[in-house]
Amino acid sequence: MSFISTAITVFALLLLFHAGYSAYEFSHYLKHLTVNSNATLPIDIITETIVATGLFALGQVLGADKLRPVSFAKWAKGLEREGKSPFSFLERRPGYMNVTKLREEYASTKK
Amino acid sequence: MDEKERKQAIYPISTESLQQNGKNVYYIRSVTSTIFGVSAGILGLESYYGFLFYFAGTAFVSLLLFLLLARGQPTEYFASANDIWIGNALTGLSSFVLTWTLFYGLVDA
Amino acid sequence: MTTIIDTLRNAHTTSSYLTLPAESLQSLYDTSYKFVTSGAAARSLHPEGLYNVFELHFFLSIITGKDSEASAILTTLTDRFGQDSHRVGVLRSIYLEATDGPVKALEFLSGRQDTELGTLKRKIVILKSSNQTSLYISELLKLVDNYPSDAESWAELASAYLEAGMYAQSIFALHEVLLLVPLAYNINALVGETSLLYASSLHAASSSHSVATEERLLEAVKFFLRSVELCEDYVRGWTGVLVATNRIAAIQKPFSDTSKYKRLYDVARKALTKIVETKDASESDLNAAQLVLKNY
Repeated sequence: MSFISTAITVFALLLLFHAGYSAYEFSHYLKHLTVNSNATLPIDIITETIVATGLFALGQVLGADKLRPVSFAKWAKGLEREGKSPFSFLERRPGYMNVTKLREEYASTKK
Repeated sequence: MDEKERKQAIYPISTESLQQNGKNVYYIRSVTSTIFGVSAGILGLESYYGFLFYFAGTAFVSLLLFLLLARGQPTEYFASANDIWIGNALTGLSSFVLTWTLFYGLVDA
Repeated sequence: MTTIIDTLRNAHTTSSYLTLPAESLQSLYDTSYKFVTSGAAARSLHPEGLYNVFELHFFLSIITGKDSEASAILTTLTDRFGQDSHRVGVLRSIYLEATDGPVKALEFLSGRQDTELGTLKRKIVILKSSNQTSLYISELLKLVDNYPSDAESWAELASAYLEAGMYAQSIFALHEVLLLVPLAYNINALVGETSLLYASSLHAASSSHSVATEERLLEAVKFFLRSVELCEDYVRGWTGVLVATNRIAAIQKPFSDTSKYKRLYDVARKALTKIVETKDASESDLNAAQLVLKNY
């Protein structure tokens, strides 16, 4: 997750917490004052909640792992560049490794 | 062999990528649905309005996925373009309902 | 931490330790040594992943000549997975082969179950070190007869045939590999390369151009093209196309219509030039591409 997406997510959560607390306070006062018991939530709390929700979704999508191409050829290209080809074992054949030769080669280059 | 099978044989699809991408989207759907539930609870939404809110939020996430994650080319990353629009759209519904009812109760002092 | 695990896991799955230069081997060994001995491995990996990292560490130790370390990790593996474990048995035989010589290893292997594929492979490898190519090939043939779905053995057979200069047989074995692993683009390219060698040997045998030589060249192009179809911008595939079409173009009197191969030559040249210009490949691949572009 990149810095910017983490920042957006954290900010969104703080905002959401604030909105939630405000909504709680609002309903608290509403009950104790009993002035107008069917008053709707103030518009600023509504806006804050919706903005926080949108920002959170944005942060999550921005911070998600990159998608991989489904085309086998494009996927294989990426693996080939990173030296992670899933087929290289067919040319290296670990089951048939010649351990004596490998040790000799390593020892001779180390001298 | 019909045309589609022929194409698949020549240009195969990487199932590994397909699964990985599916997991990615699934995760985003789950996490955002949970937060949508929190918001719906805070807003004090009831009955149909809550579900409407869920579907509006899901559509918003679909749009973000389409624009930001798939860069406008969902067929590059998914078996069909529908996977990003309606695929997984209901996966988060249960967690949404859970946090929705929870926060509805919490906010109500 | 995750990058260390990824590096080690990748080295294990691609068996990169078999072809790495000495310095890289040394640094990979240092990484795995730290990871295994600090106990971080046991804490952060599931049994299968843990086994793979231990196995990798064993291979790295034995190749870099750290025999006592190899012995220690072998003991750990035996304690954890038991004497009877098929894979641990293979490692033990490799250890014996490296430290006590092939005779001791063969002795150990003959005490193991004859149904273990890994054990059978080790027995055959020990034969190979005695330099009896024909015996090696006939043993491999027996093995693929019994285990026809083991792609690694078919590939080993192909390489044994290639070393013996038996190109047609080598290509046949590679076709078997492709039947088992049809998406292996590197094996497609290898078929192309072997076909090129085959064509050269046929050409050397008969002083003039023959139908057989031409067929091999056309076949080479076909397989190189399949490899670039399966792996985008595959340098090994495109260089193969370039070399093969270049040789087809040099034929004085072709038996078939070769005009489309001239176009393919241009396509391959363009593809390689683009890869080199955008530096869209690994360092060694870029060097290879430049070399081939200059010479063909």
